[in-house]
Amino acid sequence: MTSTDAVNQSDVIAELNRPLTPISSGQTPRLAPIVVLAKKTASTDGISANVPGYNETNPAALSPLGRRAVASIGTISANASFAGDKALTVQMQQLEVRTQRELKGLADQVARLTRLIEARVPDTPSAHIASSVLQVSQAALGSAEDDLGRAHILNLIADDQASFSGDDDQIVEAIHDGTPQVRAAAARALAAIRGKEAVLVLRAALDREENRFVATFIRSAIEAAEA
Amino acid sequence: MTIYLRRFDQLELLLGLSEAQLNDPPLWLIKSFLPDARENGTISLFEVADRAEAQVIAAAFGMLRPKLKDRVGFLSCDADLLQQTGLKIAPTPGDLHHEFADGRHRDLHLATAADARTVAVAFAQGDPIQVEGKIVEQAAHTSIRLNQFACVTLAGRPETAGRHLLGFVRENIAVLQGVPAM
Repeated sequence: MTSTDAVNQSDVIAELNRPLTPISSGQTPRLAPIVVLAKKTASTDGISANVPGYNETNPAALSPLGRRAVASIGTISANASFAGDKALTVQMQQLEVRTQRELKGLADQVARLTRLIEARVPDTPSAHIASSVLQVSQAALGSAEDDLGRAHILNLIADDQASFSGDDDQIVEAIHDGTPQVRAAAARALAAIRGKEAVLVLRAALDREENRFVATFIRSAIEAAEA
Repeated sequence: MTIYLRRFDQLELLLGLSEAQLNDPPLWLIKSFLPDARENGTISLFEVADRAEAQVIAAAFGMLRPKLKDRVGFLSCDADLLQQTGLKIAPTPGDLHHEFADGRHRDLHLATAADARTVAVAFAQGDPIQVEGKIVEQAAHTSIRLNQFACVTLAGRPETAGRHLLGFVRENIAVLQGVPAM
């Protein structure tokens, strides 16, 4: 039995399919079901757990709810993968993540998944888990419907808890036009994504910034970008 | 210029403060200056000259955490302003096992919650300092090269080690039982 086999995939699926905490008491979460794809990268005998609303091989078979979510939101996905012959890729795809609380729910699930895998693959040091991060697409960032949600996503990117794919113009724009929370988080995120290339933009933003607390964040972002 | 630092990792909260609240701080800000039961009526501050020294203090904190690369935040206050409050500030050795940081540690004596409020108002006037994880890491490397750290690990700090152990047990027992922690 390989270490990969030691992972009880049904447990992983059960874990990922666990419903998120309701948004408020008595209210049904408006999240579409989580889609889980767990497969061994070395072979094709992957398994998938498709839940109502999504069909991996035939996206057209999405339920009306699923189609709406995909069309309007894009995706946020999370990956946990092992290196070398222990390769196991677990992807989860969360549809319709809009608010800070929903995003936190997703992040919590990723953390649980990581711990689960670590516990079930005893010979694999944590360091060998390549990543357990949210991958935030440009579309997903744009879909955050409130400023706190956007700021939260941007802070995840800045803190290396999420990677960003797509055009970062939206983030640059947020540094200038967002709420204080969004401006601060966007500055940090841009420094994380662009590194030294972000310095000029951030310096310009600092020159214009009137809120001294936001300026604090921009200043520290500049330091990090220059480092 | 001398400034005092107070560790405060949730600097984002400040972004929601209005101008009026700078002189009439919300309870969460006041509470961050209240001593806990172990502190015997004092709170910990660090006296530094500039931002670079704040980064060294951040490195000292960073080395005692599980994730070195997490950012560290400080509220800051101009030394003159804090001294005008009349509250007693005394140099006392810190317990970060870092020579420079421990040498800059100060105890601020507070008698009542009203004192904590006074201090919160003073610190609300200062510019907070955030030290990003990348900088914390770099500063920690520098401190090690300069032989600033004593050779003490997390295991040498009973309270810290205990917290980590409890966290480990909580997470792993929960996984074994199939009931995810969090």
